Amino acid sequence: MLAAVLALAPLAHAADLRATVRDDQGRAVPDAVVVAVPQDAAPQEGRSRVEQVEQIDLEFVPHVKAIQTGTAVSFPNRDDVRHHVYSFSPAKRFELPLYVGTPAQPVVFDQPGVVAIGCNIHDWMVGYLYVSPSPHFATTGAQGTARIAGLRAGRYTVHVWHPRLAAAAETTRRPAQLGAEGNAALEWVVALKPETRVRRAPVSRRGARY
Amino acid sequence: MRLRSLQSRIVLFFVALLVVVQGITLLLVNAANERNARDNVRHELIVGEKIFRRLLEQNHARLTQAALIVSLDFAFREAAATRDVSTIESVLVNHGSRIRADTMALVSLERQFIADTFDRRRAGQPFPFTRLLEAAERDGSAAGMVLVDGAAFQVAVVPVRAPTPIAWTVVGFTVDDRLARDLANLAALEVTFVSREGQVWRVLGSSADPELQEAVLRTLPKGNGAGDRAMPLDLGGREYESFVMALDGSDSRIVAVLARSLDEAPYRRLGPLLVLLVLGSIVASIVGSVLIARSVTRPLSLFSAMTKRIEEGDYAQAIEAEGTDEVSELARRFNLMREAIAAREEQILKLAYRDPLSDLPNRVLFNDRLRVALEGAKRGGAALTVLVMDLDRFKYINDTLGHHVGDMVLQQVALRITRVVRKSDTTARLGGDEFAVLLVNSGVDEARGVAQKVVAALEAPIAIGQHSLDVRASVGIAAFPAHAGDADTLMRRADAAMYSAKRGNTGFAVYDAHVQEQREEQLSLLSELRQAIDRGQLRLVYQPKIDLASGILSGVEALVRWAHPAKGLITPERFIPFAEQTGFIKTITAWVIDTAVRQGAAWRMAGRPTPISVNISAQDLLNPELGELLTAALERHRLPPELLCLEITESGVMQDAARAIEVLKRLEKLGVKRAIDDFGTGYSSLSYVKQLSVDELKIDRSFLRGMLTDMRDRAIVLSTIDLAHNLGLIVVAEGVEEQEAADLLRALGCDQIQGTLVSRPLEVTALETWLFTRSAAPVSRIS
Repeated sequence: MLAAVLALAPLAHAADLRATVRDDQGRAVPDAVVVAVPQDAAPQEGRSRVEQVEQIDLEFVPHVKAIQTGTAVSFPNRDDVRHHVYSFSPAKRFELPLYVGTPAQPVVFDQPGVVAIGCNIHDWMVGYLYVSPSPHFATTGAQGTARIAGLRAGRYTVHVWHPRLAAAAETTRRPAQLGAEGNAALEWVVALKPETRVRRAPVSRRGARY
Repeated sequence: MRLRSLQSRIVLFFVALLVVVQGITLLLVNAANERNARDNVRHELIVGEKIFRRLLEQNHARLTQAALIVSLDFAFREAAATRDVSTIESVLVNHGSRIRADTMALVSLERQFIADTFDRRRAGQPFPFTRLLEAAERDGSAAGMVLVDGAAFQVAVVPVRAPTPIAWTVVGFTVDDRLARDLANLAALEVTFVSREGQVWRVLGSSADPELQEAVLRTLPKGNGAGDRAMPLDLGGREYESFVMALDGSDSRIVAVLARSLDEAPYRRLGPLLVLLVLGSIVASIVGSVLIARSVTRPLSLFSAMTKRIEEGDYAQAIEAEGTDEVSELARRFNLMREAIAAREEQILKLAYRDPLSDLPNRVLFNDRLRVALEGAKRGGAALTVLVMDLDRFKYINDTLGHHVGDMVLQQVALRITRVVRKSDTTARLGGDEFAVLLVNSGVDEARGVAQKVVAALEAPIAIGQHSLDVRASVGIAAFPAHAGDADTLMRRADAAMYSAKRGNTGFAVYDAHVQEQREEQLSLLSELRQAIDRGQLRLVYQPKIDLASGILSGVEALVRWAHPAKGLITPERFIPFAEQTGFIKTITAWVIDTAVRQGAAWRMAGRPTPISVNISAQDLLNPELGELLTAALERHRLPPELLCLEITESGVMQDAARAIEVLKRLEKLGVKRAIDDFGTGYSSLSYVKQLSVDELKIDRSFLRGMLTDMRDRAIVLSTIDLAHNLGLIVVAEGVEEQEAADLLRALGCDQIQGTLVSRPLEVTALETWLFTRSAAPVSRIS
């Protein structure tokens, strides 16, 4: 993150948006996607590089990943069991039947929206891809903070998305005016729905052969 | 009747006691049992309720599991995600039949039916059980009871994840009898599911019989508030404890009523057994107490009957007494008492009617039998006789040899009499030495024969130890109806005859009215005799004795005469014996002594001291006052004692020889002279004579009478005179009437004579005249 800031520093007009997300209990909320949408500029073309959502230790890593529309995501399987990754989300419906290693073709997410991905074998495995039209997004870490770096000065609408967000993501929208030299800091207090994940099956780490 | 009431009292008491105690026990036990039963059943209900809840939870879990299996089907998820309704429906139907669900539905996250196998038309309609969905949203899944169009379902709701929830799968099973029965079997309770619509309860399914279901519907409170509470059920005879459980939260539109019978509780089942036990013990106690009471009252009746028999004089029957208990002990005591009473009565009867010494009937029994025999004789016109006897010398034997010997003599006499008397006749001892015999159906002649036999039987001496005793009896005979018409008179007549026999020394005598008249006259004389002294009717006459050698008057014998105003002069023979018998002789003797001493003193004063002899009887001799009497008379009239001589008959001495010897010694000390009168008639042995301290011996006139013709009499007289002289005694011959006798007596050595040859007894004046004349007459004629 610091590297990103330093990397962006030579750009005189660039600014950082620092976002903090807490729940109504005041606890840091990790895995929240913070998206800044410039109001006056059209969305830029997405980058062409391939993103990854790995399956490590029978979990999607990362749990929540934000990508720009049009990004291809590959789902490399780092476990020694097969996975059957799928999604029935309207933004992207796909299925990667039982495979080991990295499937040959990454999946391209060409529509914005939330894509919930699961594994047909391991019910508890849930991951999210937030497909954003805007390229300006970041995901909060363990401290509930995220930094969107290198924003040009201008007016933005910033909103937060989280898998357990009680209200619609639109309700978190906030306008943000970013000056040439100023970093902006925004804070969100969001209500989260309780965790309803399927309980993970008790699998021994070593030698589990699912 | 009283015994019976005692028995019923015992029975009543014990039975009542038992009934009361058992009743109270039963009530207490029942109350405790009831409490226990209820507690027990409540406890079972609590346990059952827990099990039931657990079963429901398990059921829900199973349902949930079933729903999950559908939800996780990849194809189903895909169909759900794509809202492919026809595929969704077919999957639901397929799965539903697989798990035998009654309804399956898919509900959108917006809570609208996507598909419903129960009713297809519901698609698009809102899902009514939002609470379940909320619970499922919260907990990942939910299960519960719901009512749909009057039917109740057990439903489970699980999310369809793709992989995040995209819809809800709902699986439902009808709540019906089968479910109730399954649960009832596992929880061991009667289970009834009930739903409420408005105020009306309706059974959804039940394991219980219709009656119990009916009771449940009747007892459940109307309206809301039926949840989680205990509820007793009464089915009219059958009792249940139940627990009401709301199955759909606070709405209480679906409840389960868990019921458990109180009657099946073990303590309850004990109740009838207890009642049976109580009834049994009451019956047993009735039987037992009747038996025990009877074992007491039956002997009491026996005792009662026995005492009645004893009261009536029947001692024969004993009471059975074979046991070892108190009653048997009492019976034994009763028997002993009965025997003792019988023995005592026998003894008393014996004492009353038997003479213990002779074992003969006594006077009472004799009189009884006599009376009975008399009555019989009177009726039958028969005769009977009575013999009365006494022993002539019994008193003498008793006095000299003691009562012990006397008693033995009486026993021997009784034996001898009974030996000669028929068994059918009654021989009795009337008392003392007096016996009587009752001869039934016999006249005087037969009685005489018996009397002879009795007298003969007693003639032989009776040997008692070393004594050989001579007892003779005098028997009096009186006959009915010849002599008397009643018992008392008959006995008196027999008595009279006996006295007559005794007097006459005849052994026996038959009653003779003439003799009796004489005797009665004598009795009247006796009564007059008592007054004779006071009236001066008695007087003394004096018969002179002369010395054979000198012809000089040697003394006079004072003899008593009774000048009876009507009967003239009465000789002593006619009244002295009665005076002796009545004891009046003492008075007469005292008078005679006084009169004679006074006369002797008079003669002495006149210068002619003359020895005077006075007769005293055996009774007088035994009178302890005799000495005083003599001393007083001698002193009163100042007569020297040697001028007074007391004459005692030999038989009088022999009545009590020892005593006579002693008295005579005392008299010797007084200084008065003593003479033995009528010597030779008293059977006295010569050894007695030796011991008698006397001065004079008067030979009985009976010897003198034969002396002139009979050489043996003469020898007796001679030897008597010799004997007397050898003992230093003066010998006097009495009753000398002829000169030859006087001469012979002189020749034999007799000292003095007395008799009509000398002079008859004379009055004082006549004696003095006689003396005067005699002194003038020649003495030689007599001497």
